[in-house]
Amino acid sequence: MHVSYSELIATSEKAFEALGMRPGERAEAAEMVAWLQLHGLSGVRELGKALAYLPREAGTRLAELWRAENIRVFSAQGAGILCTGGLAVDAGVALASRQGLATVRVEDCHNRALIVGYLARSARHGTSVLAYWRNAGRSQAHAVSLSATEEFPTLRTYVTSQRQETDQSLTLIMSRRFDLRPHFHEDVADERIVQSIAATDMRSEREHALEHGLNVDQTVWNDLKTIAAGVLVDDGL
Amino acid sequence: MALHDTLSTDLPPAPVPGLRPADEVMALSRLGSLHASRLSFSRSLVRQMIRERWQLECERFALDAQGYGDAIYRVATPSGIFRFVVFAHYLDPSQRRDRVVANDWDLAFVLCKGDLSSSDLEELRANVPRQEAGRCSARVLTLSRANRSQRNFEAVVERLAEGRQPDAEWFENVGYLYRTTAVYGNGKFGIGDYEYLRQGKTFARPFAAELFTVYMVRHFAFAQVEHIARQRAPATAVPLAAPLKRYLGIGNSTGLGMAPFLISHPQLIDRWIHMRETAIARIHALGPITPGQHDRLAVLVERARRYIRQTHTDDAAQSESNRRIEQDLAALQRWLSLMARQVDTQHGPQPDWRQLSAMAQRHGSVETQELINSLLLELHPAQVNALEDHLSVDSAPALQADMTAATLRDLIETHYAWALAYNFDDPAEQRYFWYRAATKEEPRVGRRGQDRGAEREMLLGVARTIRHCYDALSAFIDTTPEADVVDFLLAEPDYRAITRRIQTLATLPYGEIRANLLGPDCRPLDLLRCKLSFFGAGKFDPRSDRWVRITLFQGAPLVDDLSSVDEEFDWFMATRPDPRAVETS
Repeated sequence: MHVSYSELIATSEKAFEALGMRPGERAEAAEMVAWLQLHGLSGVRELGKALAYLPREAGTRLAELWRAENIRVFSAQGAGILCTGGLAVDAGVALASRQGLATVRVEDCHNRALIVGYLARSARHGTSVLAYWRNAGRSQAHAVSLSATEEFPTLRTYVTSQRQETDQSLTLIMSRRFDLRPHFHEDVADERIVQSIAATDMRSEREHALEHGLNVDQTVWNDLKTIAAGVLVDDGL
Repeated sequence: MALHDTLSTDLPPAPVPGLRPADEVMALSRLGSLHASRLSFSRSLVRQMIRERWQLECERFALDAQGYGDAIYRVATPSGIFRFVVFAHYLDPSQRRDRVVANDWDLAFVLCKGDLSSSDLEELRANVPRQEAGRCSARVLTLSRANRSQRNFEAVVERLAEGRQPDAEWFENVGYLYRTTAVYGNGKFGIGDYEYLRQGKTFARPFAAELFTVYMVRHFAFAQVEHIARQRAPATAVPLAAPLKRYLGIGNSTGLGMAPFLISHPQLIDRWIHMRETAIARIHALGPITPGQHDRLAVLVERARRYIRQTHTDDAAQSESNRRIEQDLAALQRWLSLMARQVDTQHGPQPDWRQLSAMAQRHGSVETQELINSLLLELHPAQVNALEDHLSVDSAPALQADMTAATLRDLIETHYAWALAYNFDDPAEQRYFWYRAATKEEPRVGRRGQDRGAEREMLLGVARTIRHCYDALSAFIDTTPEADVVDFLLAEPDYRAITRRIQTLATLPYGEIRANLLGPDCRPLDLLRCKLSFFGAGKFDPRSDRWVRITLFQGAPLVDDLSSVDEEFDWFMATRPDPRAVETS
């Protein structure tokens, strides 16, 4: 299914509104999904995984579990990144701004891959960021880094020997003072990296997508359109 | 290439002193009194077409004797090749409706990039006439449709077929052969995104592609009426005289669909208004009015009077406003006569532009004041034209999470006192609500408590949201006075969007329309007129307080003129052509 970038944003935002997401969250979430899709990172596919859960997740608050001078730990209370990721990133940016270095950990959180779309905002605030999460049971970990001076993040997915069954957390490390890059420690061998996406990949994906439009999963798109119709009023006129 | 490095659009020019205060400029009644100016997008587009010597060529003109069929125009600009493709078919007059909810039109057309294969054309033929019900590819940049003016179209064809020219008076009331009801751009129904357009130079300015599409359908309309006349009476038919063609624009019916844009794009609105105000302030800073400027102003004021006299509307308020403008302009002419001797002889106090504006402010209606501002801009291309490169904004609203909550409250008190002045405990201040109708998602206004849909209200009541945010923030600060904005948002996540808006607009004084859009005093028409004036619309003819007819490109140079006129081709407030000019053309 071919759609435009702005069409994806508009339809997603209306769908999120119909699902009960808050005004600030739904606009951001729509832009993040579209940002991922525009840059070849399968935003719509990831959204498709989250869509069924959004009706009960919308409106969930980030609950603060613990805080120290430069650390904040939240629980997403089982909700996905679309409902909680923006505020988590903002909390990290605020903390890094005050402390220079900040760690934000979000526990009990789903659809963490969608966080990538939110990270560009931290760079705009002059903050470098490293996001890290592991897939429970699949021995895979993901690291995404974005320097304050860069437009695109670098993504690495790698196999880890440490199996962890119930890790639903996301860790964000943010710094105003130095760059954070996903360069692996020497005991992480290159052959264990299963996916690596660099800025050049994303730039070319974006140029192609803007010129030719976005190809998205028809089923997810149809679901989105159906949900988005929930904001409309049949006034009989 | 970076996404937006083609125009230096994101940075405004150096600030100038003497800008009018936002409380004055952003009052809805004043925004609803704006007139087109040389900074309007259609004016800017025409200057660009002339400057860059765009080449327009008809590649295909496959119309039958009744004018039905299709046509393709090739458009060559320094930055690319484009195609304007139009499909014309019979429309039962009973189906000819202005509203966006119509399903059939006399014309459907697109602007595309690049070359077209026969399969591309077939794809367009299958989808473009269906408009919202069709799908287009990213190579399509705009999608639109138009209906004939029932009054003018057939009458013009008939006259041309008889070998005679139509009466110019006909076009005073209805200054067009076709009227568009929507011009879609920026990704609607699968078409190309504005983000892509901005990478090129041809249509990088706001709404340039949409307005060029309107210009092209005007060109096609002339070719179509002449074609039908020729087919009807090959022996006697004559072409439409050039002065009459120039006097004909394209009509447009605009409803509430345009209104939410002004609220949802506050940074862009700030920039548009800011550039207009910058132009006015630059002109006010100039020295005394020179004899040459005095004479030119006198010519323009006389033309503006004639233009207003030739603007006809059934709307009582607009008619009254037009009468008042004419009176005010007559008073201005008397003042100019008094000043003429002083200006010519350079003796005595010399009037300047600031004095002129002050006089208008003291004695003229708001609409007259803004008309005079448009006249000032018209007289000063050197101070105004370059501002057209600063009418786009790239940056998105940004949240400053590390700001203290107390600072956020200060921002509200400083920049949103106008919003806090409304009493939302009074039900009248929330009498109306905005919603999206199921029919084509058209925005509409309903009466709370009477009409359906309040539970799905669009969030256009900025003043009300500000009040709610302010109250919640004040309560939060009372318990946690040292907290940051992020702490406030963790406690009150509902205010995330409005907080971002407040912080973003704190440095952008013209971003916020200072009115309660839910209250009894809101006239949606004012929102429409504000945006339309930036498009370059004229002949405002309100059909209710929720939709308006206007004319675009009236007076604009013809395609054939583009290679022979310069950028300063004068089509400001075009008036009815002199019959002698029509005869001799």
